[in-house]
Amino acid sequence: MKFVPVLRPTFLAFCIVAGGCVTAPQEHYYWGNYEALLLTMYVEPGTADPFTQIEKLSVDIQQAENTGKPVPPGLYAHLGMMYALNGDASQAEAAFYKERELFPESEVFIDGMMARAFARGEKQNAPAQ
Amino acid sequence: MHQPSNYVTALVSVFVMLLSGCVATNTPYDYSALENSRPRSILVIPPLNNSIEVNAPYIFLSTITRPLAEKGYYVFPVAVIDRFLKENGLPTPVEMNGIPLDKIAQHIGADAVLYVAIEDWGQKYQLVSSTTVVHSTLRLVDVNTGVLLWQATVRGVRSSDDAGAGLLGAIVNALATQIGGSVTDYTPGLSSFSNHRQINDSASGLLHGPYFNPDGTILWRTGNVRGAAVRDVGLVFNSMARGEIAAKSYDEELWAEALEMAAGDEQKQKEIYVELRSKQLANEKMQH
Repeated sequence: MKFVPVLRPTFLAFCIVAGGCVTAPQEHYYWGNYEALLLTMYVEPGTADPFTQIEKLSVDIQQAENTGKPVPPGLYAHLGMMYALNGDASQAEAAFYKERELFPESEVFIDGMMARAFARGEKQNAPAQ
Repeated sequence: MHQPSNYVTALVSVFVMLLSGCVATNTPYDYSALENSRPRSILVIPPLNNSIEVNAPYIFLSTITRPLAEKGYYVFPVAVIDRFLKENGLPTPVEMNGIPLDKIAQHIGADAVLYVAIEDWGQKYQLVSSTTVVHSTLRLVDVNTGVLLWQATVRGVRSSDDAGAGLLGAIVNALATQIGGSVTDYTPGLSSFSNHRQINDSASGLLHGPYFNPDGTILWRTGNVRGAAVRDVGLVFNSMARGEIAAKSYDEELWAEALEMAAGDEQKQKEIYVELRSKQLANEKMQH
């Protein structure tokens, strides 16, 4: 894949530069591949298919755990979308609810999305909420 | 104003200007609307594109989540939102930027919306060198009231002449993406850098949101430290007697003391200075 060195190893250097004039505290979240995936899925559609993204995001989640940093806002929802695009409704649902659990600010959006997906009959074996 | 406090402030300002050379001493940014609103979550609407670079809105979109989230806000997943809006009959950013706020509240539940317009974007080639430019305007709006909470202009320029020179060059290069295998696009790196810089600008950056917690607490300003443009109090509190500052009502002596306590820490002194100066201006305004 081409989105190799994006962001992660350079952010420390960025903080040092920015620190000259700007508040740049140590990062709170483990960012991993999330931003790079956002970039490539638009700039080079086709190189970041759902399967690849799921794989990379799952590695990020594991890495976040290893480093003791939280997963950033939106990552689980993005993962949920990728599962949905892959036709895996139950994994998608689990990821969307994980987003809502980590960030209650997403509740209206996630619940609405789930309700509409349910109404459309996209989910076959959805547990009653 | 009392003489002594003017004196202290003058001293402090000279000192800090000597120290840094990059503290803005003009009129402080008015954060009152943002402080009244205190949004927890930000919905970034896919940007309008006034540039000729077709990919600009989505390149920008990939570089905005991180600085906003690291500033302490919940940022709605940009790609999920984009898809959601497209599936709901809004095929391009033009339509997306026209969604009524009440619809956003109802279907997405965001506290604030960030509207972005890309003004200029891309690489301009001259005879022997090239220049990479990113330029956008940001407007953060309260979803419930429609009030403008914060606005900023983001500009970044990178010349191939200083490619690799210094850390900025190194960073932008490292963030560059190879597109089509031959052309290297420096705009993602420059956009990322420029967004971080603007959002964290010490004079006109965004205030911290609820997740920003260097010491494990929610760091919106405490009630008795009111004023026009006070910001980043959390960083000051973090390094000194937080409880003590919060417990006392505001006075400039206390801040002079705080400044002394932060001796040797240039960043914290800058923070304190910005706070002190804006407080002073606010007091002057009230007395007139």
